Amino acid sequence: MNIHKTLLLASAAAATLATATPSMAQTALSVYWNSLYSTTSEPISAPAMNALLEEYKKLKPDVTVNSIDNMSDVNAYQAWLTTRFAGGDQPDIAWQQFYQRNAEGKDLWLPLNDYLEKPNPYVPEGQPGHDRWADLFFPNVLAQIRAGDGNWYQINTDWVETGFYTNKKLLDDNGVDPTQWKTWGDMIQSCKDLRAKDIQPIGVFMTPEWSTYQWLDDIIITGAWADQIQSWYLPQYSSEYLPWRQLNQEEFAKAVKEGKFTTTDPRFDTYLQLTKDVAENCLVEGFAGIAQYDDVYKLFNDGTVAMAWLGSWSAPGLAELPFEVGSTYIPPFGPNDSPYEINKSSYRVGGPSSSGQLGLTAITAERGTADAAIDLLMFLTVPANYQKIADVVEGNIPMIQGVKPSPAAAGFQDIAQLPERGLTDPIGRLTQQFGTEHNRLFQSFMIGELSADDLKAQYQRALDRAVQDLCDEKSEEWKWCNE
Amino acid sequence: MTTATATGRRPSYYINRYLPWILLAPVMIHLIVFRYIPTFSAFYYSLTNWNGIKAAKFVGLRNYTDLFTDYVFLDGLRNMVIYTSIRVVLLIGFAFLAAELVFSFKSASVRTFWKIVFVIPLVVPVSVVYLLWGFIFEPQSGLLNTLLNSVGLGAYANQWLGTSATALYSIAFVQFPFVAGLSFLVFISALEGIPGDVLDACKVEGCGRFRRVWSVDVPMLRGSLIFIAVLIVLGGIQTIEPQLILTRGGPGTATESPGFYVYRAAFQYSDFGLAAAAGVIMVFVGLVFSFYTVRARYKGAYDVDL
Amino acid sequence: MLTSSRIRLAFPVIVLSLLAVITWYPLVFMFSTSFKTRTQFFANYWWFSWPLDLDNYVQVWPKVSLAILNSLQYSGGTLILVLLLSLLGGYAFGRFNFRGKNFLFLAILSLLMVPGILTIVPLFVQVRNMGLLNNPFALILPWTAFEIVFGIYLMRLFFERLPKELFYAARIEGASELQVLLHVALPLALPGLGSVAILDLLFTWNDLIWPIVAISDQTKLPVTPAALNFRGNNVVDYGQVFAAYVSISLPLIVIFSFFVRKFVRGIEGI
Repeated sequence: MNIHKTLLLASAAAATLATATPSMAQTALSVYWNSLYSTTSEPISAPAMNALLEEYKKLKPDVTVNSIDNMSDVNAYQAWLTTRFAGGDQPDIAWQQFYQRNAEGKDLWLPLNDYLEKPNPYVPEGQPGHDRWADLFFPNVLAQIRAGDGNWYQINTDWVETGFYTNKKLLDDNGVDPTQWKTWGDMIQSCKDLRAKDIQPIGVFMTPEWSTYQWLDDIIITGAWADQIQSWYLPQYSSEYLPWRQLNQEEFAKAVKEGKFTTTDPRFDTYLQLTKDVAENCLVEGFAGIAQYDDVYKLFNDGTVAMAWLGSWSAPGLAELPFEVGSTYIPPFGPNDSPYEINKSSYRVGGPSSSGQLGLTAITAERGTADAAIDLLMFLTVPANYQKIADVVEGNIPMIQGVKPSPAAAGFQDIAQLPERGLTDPIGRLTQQFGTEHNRLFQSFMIGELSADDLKAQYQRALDRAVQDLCDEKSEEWKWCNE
Repeated sequence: MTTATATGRRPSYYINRYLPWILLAPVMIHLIVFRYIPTFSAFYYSLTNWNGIKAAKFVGLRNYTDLFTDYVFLDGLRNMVIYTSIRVVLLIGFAFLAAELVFSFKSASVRTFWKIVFVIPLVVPVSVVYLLWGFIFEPQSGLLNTLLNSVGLGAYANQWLGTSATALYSIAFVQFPFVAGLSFLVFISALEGIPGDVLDACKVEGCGRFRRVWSVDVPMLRGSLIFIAVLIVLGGIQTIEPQLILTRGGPGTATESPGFYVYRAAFQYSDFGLAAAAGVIMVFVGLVFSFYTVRARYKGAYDVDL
Repeated sequence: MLTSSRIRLAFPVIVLSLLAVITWYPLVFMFSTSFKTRTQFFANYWWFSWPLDLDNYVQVWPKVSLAILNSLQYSGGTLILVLLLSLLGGYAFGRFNFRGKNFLFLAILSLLMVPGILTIVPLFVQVRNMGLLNNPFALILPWTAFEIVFGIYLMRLFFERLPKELFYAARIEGASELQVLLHVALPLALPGLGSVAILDLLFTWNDLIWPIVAISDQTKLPVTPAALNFRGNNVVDYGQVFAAYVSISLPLIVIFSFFVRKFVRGIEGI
């Protein structure tokens, strides 16, 4: 070919390329929204979510949000997510449980600390969040989702609460009135009364992994160690607005390492005693053989148990039951129950688990999508925007300042005001391996197959090993490890 | 009719000589890519501390020593032995019984009817079966305890899955006394394959039903019995559904299994090195077990007359 | 009159019927639950509740029918490949001798010891690197690799049992090996292939974890993972889940009823 033709061809090619290149750089974000926010599988909230995403598209036409279809089975999602990480295809924004996310840390997730300090451009002037995004969230929420290394890897747009749902008829017929419970001991007595009439009192399930037993444990361990907890706080996590708050992973690990939380302490005996009491008297027989939340729900539905500890997300389904459903909560510990209790009320067990746990994967930094992802989240968390979702989502309580809960969720406001449980679920207290070990040991103890002494010996070993593992990993951030 | 190549041999000579290799080539390529390579990758991972994200660091045999000092894993191995033994006896027992009973019918169409009867239930997904048996084992409203109470055996009612003493046996007895469709078909077709003169010879000698079963059927079915037993054992080694659906390994470690251990290590702890090591051990257990049984089966396997 | 011969005749039928009832109960349970509303379900687990409620099927049908179409595609593709490779492999091992035959066979069989759960992650990385994620071949190729181990074993047994005269005659007539394969081996192999087909279908239809990992587009899922999604996000609706399970079992039941005879002939002599 002669030069002339080549040049012509080359310039034609260049021209085509030039016009084909978009005038703006397109950013694509892949997001896995959990159930309640799914854009496809939730008939109630999907329209609201989709409407918000449409609005966002108008604001930011150069950003495409690809919402990944929801997987309602958590095991399936976990398998999917794990393999995506292994293959480098993880989404930009993904849901994950806070304890797992925090355990995985910055290997998999992006620290959001700097972003939380930035202003949220979508919030109108004068409202919280305008100057600093973190102001949109409640301090106790932020305190609880903070990881052991001091970073935040997620935001929480909502929380779940838990409550005691009661079969009113069954209780009334048998002379049990939870509203009359003043202390833990009263509750245990009611359980005994029910048992005497051959009725299963409380539905809770327990496995070596997560289970509703963990909620029970959170409250009991707090009641047994309440007078010590505040002395374990570290200054960097504390704020004068929160004299009582939940312990952080680092704080608890330090307390273990320094021998302040130990099985030889008489408080541990109280802990075990309270646990044994409720297991023997209150929990449905065979609780150690129930492996799914759905099964407890089933026991409550068919009238096998008089009360069940369920999450607020189950509330909508309870309206269909053939009997009237009441709700109550666990009463506080009195001096006869735990001599170490200092609070006059019971403890809140609920979030940070929820649908609205959203975080960025670490790879967004390399992909360059981090800023766009944060922008999307900032848009979503604007109170006026999020309100549209909160109005229709019934089972979760919104945790953004200025957003009102839906009528169904409003019933949990009282519980939401209770003081925080002192420690998070066992599976999140130290390492996940420690969590499953805790569950196994306590399970055997609660069904009478492991003696208190054996449990203490094995539990102390598990504690020490977990702290050792954590210190190996985090010796740079946790300076006290080397002392 | 044929053209000679430079060496003087027809192309079909080469095909004839190397035919088995040609036939097996696509198979081997496929297996290498999709089975052997991932398997050896897993072997390699078992010597590292890979967590899916950080570059894998070689740690030698540490995962293996961790496994053998972890009482959870060891209990799982022990459980696996018990569970598998029970399953082999139950599944083979009832499948063989059903096969013998169906074999006693002379009419082929009757037999086909029963074959269909026992094959259709194979379509039920495993998760449904375990879900159902979870309901059956429930202490209060479950079928088992309700039945025991109604026939006056209430003293035996138990928290089947909630106590260590009974949990493992409960999951081993799931579906009792059902007939495993595939095993049943294997046995019935093997029985139908027994040469008629052998059966006649036995009758001439005055065999009763039981004697025939014992001295003719069982020896002739030796191959099928061993084959099915191996499959059940391999399945038992890899068992994971009862844990996933019913017990999650509890209470305590009563129903732990190596397969579930792998699953948990991989997907909950993201400790792929440990998961791979546990999986590798499962492979070796399977190999050791099968080696003797398969070799016994193939001893004297004749070379094929071409 | 209860003669001893009548008892002897009745005995197998009675015992078999009992066994059949037990074996069938999960299937019946699946059916009966699929027609229940939530209230009906909690009132009675074990047997049908009247009136039967068809709403569950109405709800699940759109997604389930899509999943069934997907599965037909994936399982069908796998079936073709598995039958082909099992035929070739079984024929090679069953009717030829060659160096390394035993070693190779044992090497293939030993793959049965490798549990799927061990290789999920490495296999995923591999499939991803081949760019096959979300593609039907992400399911077809690995599934085939799992199934042909057994398939070759079965076909080998099958081919070994065939009388050598059939092949001898064809070769004497001057047939090329290809012709022997196509016109002698293949037709004779059909019953054996029938049994491989049933086993393969059972496996691919029911596989749960791998499709979830390999396919993220929920509209492309095969049947069993798709059925999981009917669980619901807040409260599980067993009626719907089981309606989904029944729906996805129907194609299998139809296929099995037709193939039982072939299957039995194909596994003689194991």
